[in-house]
Formats: sequence, C-alpha cells, structure tokens
Amino acid sequence: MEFIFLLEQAVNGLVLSGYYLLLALGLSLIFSVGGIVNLAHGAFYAIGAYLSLEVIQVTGFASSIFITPVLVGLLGILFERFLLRRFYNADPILSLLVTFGLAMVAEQALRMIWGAAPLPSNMPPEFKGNVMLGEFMFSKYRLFILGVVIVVLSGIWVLLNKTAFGRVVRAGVQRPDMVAVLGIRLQPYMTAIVVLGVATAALGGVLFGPIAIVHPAMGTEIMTVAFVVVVIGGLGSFWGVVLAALLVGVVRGITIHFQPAAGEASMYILMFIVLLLRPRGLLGERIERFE
Amino acid sequence: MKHKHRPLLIAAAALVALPLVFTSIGLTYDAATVVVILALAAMGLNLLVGYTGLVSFGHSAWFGIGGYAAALAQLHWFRDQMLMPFLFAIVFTAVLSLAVGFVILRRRGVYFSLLTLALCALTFAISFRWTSLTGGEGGLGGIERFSFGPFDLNQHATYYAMTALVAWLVVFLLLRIVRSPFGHVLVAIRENTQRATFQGYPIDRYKLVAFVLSATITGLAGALMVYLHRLAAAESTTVAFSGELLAMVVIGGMHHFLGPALGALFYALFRELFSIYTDNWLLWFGLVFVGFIIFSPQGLAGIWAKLRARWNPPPTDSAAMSKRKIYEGLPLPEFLRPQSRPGVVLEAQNLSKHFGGIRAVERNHLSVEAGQVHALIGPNGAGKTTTFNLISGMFEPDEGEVRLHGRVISGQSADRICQQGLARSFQITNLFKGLTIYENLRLSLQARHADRFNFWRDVDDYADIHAETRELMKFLGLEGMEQVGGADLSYGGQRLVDLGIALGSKP
Amino acid sequence: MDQHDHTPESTPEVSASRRQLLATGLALGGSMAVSMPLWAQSGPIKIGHLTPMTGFLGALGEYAAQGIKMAADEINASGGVLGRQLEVLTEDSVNPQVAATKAQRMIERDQVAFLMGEISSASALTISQVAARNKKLFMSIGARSDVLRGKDCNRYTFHVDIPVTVMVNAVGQALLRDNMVRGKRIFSLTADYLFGHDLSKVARKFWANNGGTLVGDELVPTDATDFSPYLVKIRQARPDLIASNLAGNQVTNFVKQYAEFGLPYPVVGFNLNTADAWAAGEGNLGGIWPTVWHHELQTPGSKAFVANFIKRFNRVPENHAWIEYVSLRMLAQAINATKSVDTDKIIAYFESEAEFDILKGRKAYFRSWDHQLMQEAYPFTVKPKGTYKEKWDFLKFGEAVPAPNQPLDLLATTKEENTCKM
Repeated sequence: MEFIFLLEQAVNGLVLSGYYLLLALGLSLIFSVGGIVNLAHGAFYAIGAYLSLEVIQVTGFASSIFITPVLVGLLGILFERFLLRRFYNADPILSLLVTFGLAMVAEQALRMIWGAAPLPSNMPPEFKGNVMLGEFMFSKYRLFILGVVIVVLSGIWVLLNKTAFGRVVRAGVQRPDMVAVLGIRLQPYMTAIVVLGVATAALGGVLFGPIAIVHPAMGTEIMTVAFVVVVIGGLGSFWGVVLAALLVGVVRGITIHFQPAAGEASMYILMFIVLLLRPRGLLGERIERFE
Repeated sequence: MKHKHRPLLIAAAALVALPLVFTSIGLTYDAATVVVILALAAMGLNLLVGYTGLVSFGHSAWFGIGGYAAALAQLHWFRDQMLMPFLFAIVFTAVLSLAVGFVILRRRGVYFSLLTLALCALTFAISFRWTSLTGGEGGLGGIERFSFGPFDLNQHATYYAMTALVAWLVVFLLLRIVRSPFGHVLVAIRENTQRATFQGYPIDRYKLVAFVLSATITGLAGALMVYLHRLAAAESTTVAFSGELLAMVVIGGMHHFLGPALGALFYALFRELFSIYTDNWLLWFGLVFVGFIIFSPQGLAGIWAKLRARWNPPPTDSAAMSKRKIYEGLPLPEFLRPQSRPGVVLEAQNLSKHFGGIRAVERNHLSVEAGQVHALIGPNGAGKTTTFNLISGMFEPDEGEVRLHGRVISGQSADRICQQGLARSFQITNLFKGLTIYENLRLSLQARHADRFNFWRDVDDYADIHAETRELMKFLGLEGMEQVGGADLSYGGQRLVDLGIALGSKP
Repeated sequence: MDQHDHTPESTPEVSASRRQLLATGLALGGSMAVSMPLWAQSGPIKIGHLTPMTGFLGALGEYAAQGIKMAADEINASGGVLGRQLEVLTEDSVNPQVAATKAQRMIERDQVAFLMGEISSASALTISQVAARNKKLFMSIGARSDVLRGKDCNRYTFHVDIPVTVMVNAVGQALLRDNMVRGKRIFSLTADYLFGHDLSKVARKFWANNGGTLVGDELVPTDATDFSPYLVKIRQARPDLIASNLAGNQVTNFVKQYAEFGLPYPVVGFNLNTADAWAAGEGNLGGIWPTVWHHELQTPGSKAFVANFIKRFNRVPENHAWIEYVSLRMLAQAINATKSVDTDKIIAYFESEAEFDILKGRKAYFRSWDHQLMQEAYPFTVKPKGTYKEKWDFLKFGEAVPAPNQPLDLLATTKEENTCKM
C-alpha cells in the first residue's frame, strides 16, 4: 500500500512538472536565440498572474487564458526592444546582471501597483473536484493545466521544427553570422521568440493563480525552479527541458514523501549533480561563449 | 610609494568620518556598523567578480554560513565568548568554500554563475527549513556580545570601533593580495584565461584560492553582522541579498579597489534616506542598478575616474608605436639564453588527433635539434596549427607522444608544459588587451619565478622580475611604450608583444 | 525557490507620511506647550508600530495598520493624550530579523516611547527581546504563541491576543460537544515556525487527554504554495478528521486546494483569522475554528467600531483591525491614568489588573504574572450555502467562551502549565 502512495507522489510531481515546463520552456527559448539567461522571466509570470486577476473581472477565466498572455507578450516586445537588444553581443555576465536588476524592479513595481499583501484568486467552480484514474487521484484543475501544457508544448515543437520560421530560428541558434550572410535579418525572429517566451511564462501565471495566492514575490520564487529545470535539461535543448521538468517533478515528489522539508533542497542537489557530471545539462549543446 | 597606500588612508579616514557624518544626519552608530559590514562583504565579493572575473550570484550564502557558524559555535560550544566563535566561523567558511570551490570551479562562465545561484538557493532552503539546526524562520537568537578587556562591546560605539578595526585590517590584507604577484595573476585570468594558462600559470589553483579568500571575507562579515543583530537568520542567505551585494559592487565600481565600499555606502544611504519618502525605495534602487549596468558598467568609481581625467587630462599621446626606441643589434638577454644542450630538443612521434570523423593530424613526426630553426609548411587544412596545439598542450593527442629534452610532455596541461620550458605564441594574436605591454611581458616572466603564488609581497618588490622585463622590452624594441595598452597597438606591435610573451616564459 | 519577499524598510501608504505628521504634531504640540506650562512636554508621543505587510501574514498586517490608524486618529481628534498627539510610525516588519533591526532603530533613531504590534510570533519574540534590552514597553498585539507568555516572557512585554492554549480550548469544547474527538483518528498540518510548533504541542495534549489518536503531523513551511503532496499523504492516512495548525494564508491555500481536490474528510483548525477565511472563499471552508473577535458581535461598542471602519476603509474589519484598535485605546487609557509616558509606571498600571473596555460583553484585564490579557473568545462555523447574501456573511459565530458565569481565565494556561518567570 505504501508504494502506491509513493507512486502517487511521484505522479503528482509529474503533474506539477507540466507547469514548471511552461516557464522553463520560455526561458530556454530566449536563451537559445538571444544567448541571454533571462533572470527576469519570473517577473512575467507574476505579471501574468496579476493581470489575469484584472482581466478575469472583465471577461471571466476562460478568456483570460488567451488574453493575458497576449497582453504580456506586448510587454515583451518593449522588453526586447529596449533592454535585451543591447546585450545580445555583450559579455553574458552583463545580461545576467541586468535581467536580475529588472526582476528586482518588476517585483517592486507590482508591490507599488497592487499592494504588498497577497491577493486571493478563485478557481471557477467547474474545475473543482477530483478525477480517479485507477488508484490515483488527480485534481481536475491540475489535469486541465497538464492538458494546456501539452497543447502549448506541441505547438511550440511544431513551430520550431516544421515551419520556415522555426528553421531560421534554429539556424540562428547555431550560427547567427551565417544566417546574416544568407541575407536573413534575424532581429524580428528574436523579437518573436522573446515574445513567445514571456507569453508562455504569463500563461503559467494565469494558470497557477487560482491554486495559490498571488503576491509580488511569486516571480522570484518560481524563477529558481524554472532555471534549475533549464540548466538540468541543457541550455538550448527543447527535449532536454521536457526531460528535466519531468525529472525535477518526480524527484521533488518522492523527496517530499519522505521528508517534506527537503523537497526544495532536493532540486538544487539534483542540479549540482547534473552540472558536475554533465556540465551542459542532460541534452544540452556546447555554446562557446558561455564557458 | 604613497600612491600605493592611498586606499588604506582613504579607508581609515572614511571609517573615522562615517559615524560622525551619520550621527549628524540623524542615523545611528549601528547603521554605520552595517555599512562597514556590507562594505566588507562587497569587497570580498569583488575579489572574485572584479579581479578574477568570476561572477558569483550566490555570495550571500557565505555571508549566511559565516553568520550561522558563529552563532552555532557560540550557542553550543563557546558559551561566553565572542572571539572563538568568530575564529570558528572564519575557519569553517574557508574549509567549506574550499570544498565547494573545488567542485564548482570546474565549470566556467555562465555555468559557474548559475551554480553559485543554485548554491545560494540551496543554502536558503536549508536555513529556512532545517528548523532544528538553524532555527528556521525564527533564526538563532540569544547571541551575546561580551567585553574585551575594558571595552564593553554591547555599547554601540565600541562595537562600531571594533568592526571598523577589523574592516581596516581586512582592507590591508586585500590590498596586499591585490598588489601581489598572485593578485596580478587573477587579473590576467580575468583578461585572458587561455593566455595565462599558456604562460605557465595553473589557473585552477589561483581561481580556487581566490574563491576561498573571497568567500571567507564575506563569511567574516556575516559573523560580524550576527553579533551586531544578536540573531542569525535565513534573511542573510536570500538570493535577493546576493543581488544587493552584487549591486553594491557594480554600482560602486568593480574595477576599483574601494569601489564596492562606495557602493555599500550608496546602498545604505539610499535605503535610509529614501525609505522616509517612499515605501518603494527598492524600486528606485533597482532602477539605478539597471541604469548603471546599461550606461556606466564601471560604476561610481568609474564615473569619478572619468571626471578626474576630464580635469587632469593625461598628456596627449601620438600614435602608440611612435614612442619606440629601437636599439639595433642587441644580443638576446642573458636570462633568455638557456644552457646549450646539443642534440634533439623537441621530438614528436606518431602524433594523431581526430575530431569526430575528421583526422586532423595523422601520425606526425617532428624532430627539432638544438640551435635549429624548424619550419612547418603545408597548405590550408594540413594540420599545422593542430600540431602546434598538440605539442603545446591545448589538446591531448589521441596517439603518440611529445618529448622535450627527452622527457615526455604530451598529456600534461598547457601550463605544466610551459613550466618545463616550451613556450608558444599564437597565430591570432592573443594578448591581454586590457593590460599594458609592460604587464603583458612581466606576467610571463613572473610565471617562471618561484614567488608566483605569493599573495603578500608587493609586486614592486621583485626587482629581478622588473629588470628582466625592462631588458626584454629593450630587446624587442618596445622600450618607451611600457604604458601602452595591449589593445592600442597596431597589428605589428601586437605580434611583437605576442612573441615577447612567449619569450618571457624563458623557454 | 520559495523566498521571503525582501524589503527591509518600507513605509506603507496607510500611515501618513512621517514628515507631515511630525510637522502637524510639532505645530500642535508647540501650541499646546505655549498654553500649558511646566510639566507638559511638547511634541507628540511617538509609538513604533511593526506589523507584517508582506509574506504569508501580509493580508492581516494591512488590517492591523488600518485598525491602529483609526484609533490614533480618533484619539488625536478628541485632543490626544495628556494634551499631546499620538504619532504612530507603522512599518513592515517583514521577518524576525528585520523586525528586530527596525525595532532597535525606532527606539534609537526615532525615539519612540513604546513599541506595539506584530502578528508573527517569531518576529514578536525578537522584538520583545529588543524591547527588554532597551527597557521599553512592547505590546505584542497579534502574536499567539504560548512560549511568548511562557518561558520567553519578560517584564516589558504584554500580550493582547488570545494564546494558543485558549484557542485550542475554545475549539476543543465545541469538538467534544460534537463528538469529534474520542476514538477518532486525526491528521494534522502544522506551520513550520514558532507559532505552529507551539500550537501543535498544545493540540497534541488536547487529543491525548480526550481520547483522540494523532495519526500524522506534517510540518508545512511558511512559504509553501503547493499543498498537493500533503493532500496525497492525507489520503494515504485516511483520517476521521483533519486538524489545521497552520497560520495566515497557509490556511487559505490549504483550504482552497483541499476543495480543489474534493477530499471527503472534515477539516477543523485551531487558528484562523476572518481575513484568511474570506480569502479562502465561500464554498471552500467548513468545520469549526476559533476567533478572538468578530464583526457580528452585538455590543454597542463593537457595532459602532464596525460601522466607522466600513465608512472609513470601505471594507468590513477583521479581528486584527479590531485588536489593534482596542490596544491603542488601552495604552491611551494607561497613559491618562498614570499621567505619564514612563515605561515603569505603565507596566505597574497594567499589572494592577486594571480593567479595559475592549468592545466585548465583558471587560478585559492583564494578568499580573504573565502579562496576558484575559478576555473572551468565540468559536465559529460556516453557514450552509444559500443562507447568506454577502461574501463575508458566510461565517456563523458562536457564543462567547468562557460563558458569562465562568471566570475569565478559565481557558487560559495555569501556573503549572506556564513557566513564565519575570
């Protein structure tokens, strides 16, 4: 009997992975194309959560799932144009510093606008309740999140691998100078990828809001998980991120079963081990300028 | 002489003036103590960031570890003392950072930085959740301060004085480190890690020592903070605090010795003064931080230096190369003349190297005798550079071996090979562009000196190295251009210096 | 990473800008000084007020700041205390370390006469230590941990809110009455900090003394957002009852996610503030919980307070707003009675077990040997769906405990249980 519940914790962890994946994916995308580790990524997640609280009051939950990421995507255009662009060719450390500073600024701005106290948000009643799959119990809502994540994941995969847009992006990741020589202007693609990245993060915020409480520091909280996943999976690798998200979710779930307090720490220890044995992550590629 | 020690005087003056200025604007002695502690932590961080070029996003971990170590030591082992827990904290932080550094310094660049970030988050997770050890959210309270002879450290002013004294001593230590051969190598590592390796420096060891020193200084500051607040808490280990330390370093100026201290003062004043007017002072501070990174990465100290240059412009230079004094027909400097050993000096046999499916070098043989000039000719893609790289240690050969004076050198690291007497210059000039020509060459000569690890003596004390450098410059025809920066040279000048760097390794 | 929000110093919008208040205070005080010679000192009486405005107790801190502000404004409007205005400096205490630093700064730099506030027991502890070291009075208003009044008590700290023991006893009575204890298997979730540990300890004793079996007690970090792992464990344990020893918005989060998963076991708890209950949302909350005060209390003083608060802040006050309101009034009464702001005199006044009107049925007083305010508490449950209109109406409050004919310290700790030595 004990084992079933261990398994359920692991599976529960997997479900949570789905939602980490949304954030990690956006982070990985921006990294692949721009070469920038966007430490402000969590800020877009938080902005997504806060904005959705406002949008829900106007259009309801279902619509806010679409509208909010679009709004945040627009913000992403400004972000890329006025901030990220300066740092594509700079020392990678500077981009780390500047996005870190931006995350600080964003958190404080959220505090200023919406107040420091956590805001409650409610789940639409249709989503409440659980679903039994054999011996395992899942919350309906989390399965819904999982479904959304799978849809988004597939969409991005198709975009990157089956379209002309994706071809240019993938080429740009490998050799941006060659793409330029071929006469293709890479800049609009980069903007598009950044927008896609931050919109995915915002979607994560919209989805997680009803489960938890919305507060200004939520961006920083989620960032560490997201970048742990990206780094374990390998900076720049699509499937690496997916694999890593699953791994992190499962490891966390199992650790919590035995020692809940160590659940948090288990992720970092996992990351340490992976980085030491495979410094570029499980499936990552070698990118010279980061070493 | 005096110029070198100016930072010490400035630091001393600032430490004396700080509490006076603070109390006059309505702040407390404790606030001044906090500034000193933060300045100390930031300067410790800067040894790693500014001097060695390794950006640590998780230095608050060491700040917290130093603090918790002192707290636990006092609570469990040294009940009525301050000194022993303090020393324990220093030793513990040093040992732990040695172990951690050994592990994470194997990665470079962004990966290293991300590892430090994870380390910090891990430390926070432990501090916050391992309640039985660290007190969890509530932290470890009940830390006491005692008297030191006639001085009661419970008095605010007395504790400030003690902190200031400790800080000044650490600044003195840091200054010696920075001015030592060791300190100059750190800068070389920052500027061009690869070339430093080929000059014969085992850079991993240098990085590790820098890491340990940096972590220990920050840990020491953390212990001082715990005594100040009489509480050790998870607050000190947050990633946000790491970011604030980094902000202090960047805003103050990471390429200046006292820059971070200035940054700490700026941060503290900002916080104290702005928090009266607005609840969102951290927002404005963050904006200032971002602004500095975008517009003035050299920080406040850099702005000050630029202003000074405006007021006291340095004498205008004509083109760099025109200052040369060329002496015709100079013999090779004495120290570069090795004892003549007839016979084969360098021998490579059966060298092979494959990159994936490409066979770059396939069973090469090479033999160079004493006094010979040997040229390697071949069309593009023949494998000439790869052979060079194999011999000098950039890659390890898949097959075959290289012998120098009969001793096998293949398979060793590049710096070890250089130490054994083989130097190389680079096809694409590979200088320390940010350093002066003089320094470029001096570093090579220093690498072969017994004192290359010394972190206490001033670099100026080594008259022998300086003499050798001057002679080398004269020989190369670069005399008169000592202070020209590597980046300012024409291509020809750069090649000359590149060659000089190789020669300086006394092959 | 789950991190505390890190903002060491911030002044909330609720308290008027210090400079403005200072200016007004000085002006008023100055004019008063002209008219009152000799003994009257000019200038306002400064009170350092710390309350968590960020983190898992942040929503409660907001109410607290509003409550004390309303009290200060009312008192100042009617002439202040001893002819001087009260100036309340409210700041975000953030976490125990920052709270201690700010308390020290308020004493040294801002020269406050008294310290008040706090909801987090861990922060209250550090503040009380600072207060004791500086020999300043600290009214710990919203912190409920037993050890604050027990082994960590000190002469300079007074405790207003009901402690853990009272909370457990208040709910316990109702649980026993409803037959939910004897022979039942109970699963607990405990907030992993000082307060939670305390609560868990007292709760365990209660279960043990009344025939209940504790089958699990999980520690939940204060910054945890996801409760699904704990819900899986609960399902594994299949208890008869879930007892919450959680705090602040942990309860809200847990209750919401519990409803999300739709588990069938009844949930009760020994700690819940009405703000957290509202945030949990109607339809999510059930069970029995304790509270120190509620807005439907039918005393004239309480009704007036609620009406004024709604008019001023446009929302229904919850218990932290009320408790800060009455605390400042108690302090004002003490200052008026002793005609001084001297710490020792105020301590003596409180210790004399003087009575205060705290807008409830019975007057309250501070017990002299542990400085705990003796007052009534109320258990509450949830109204069935469809029987209420407004969202804050879904709570059903019970009668005061102890009952009117019982002694006021009936539910409080006894001298045997409480190791406080001052």
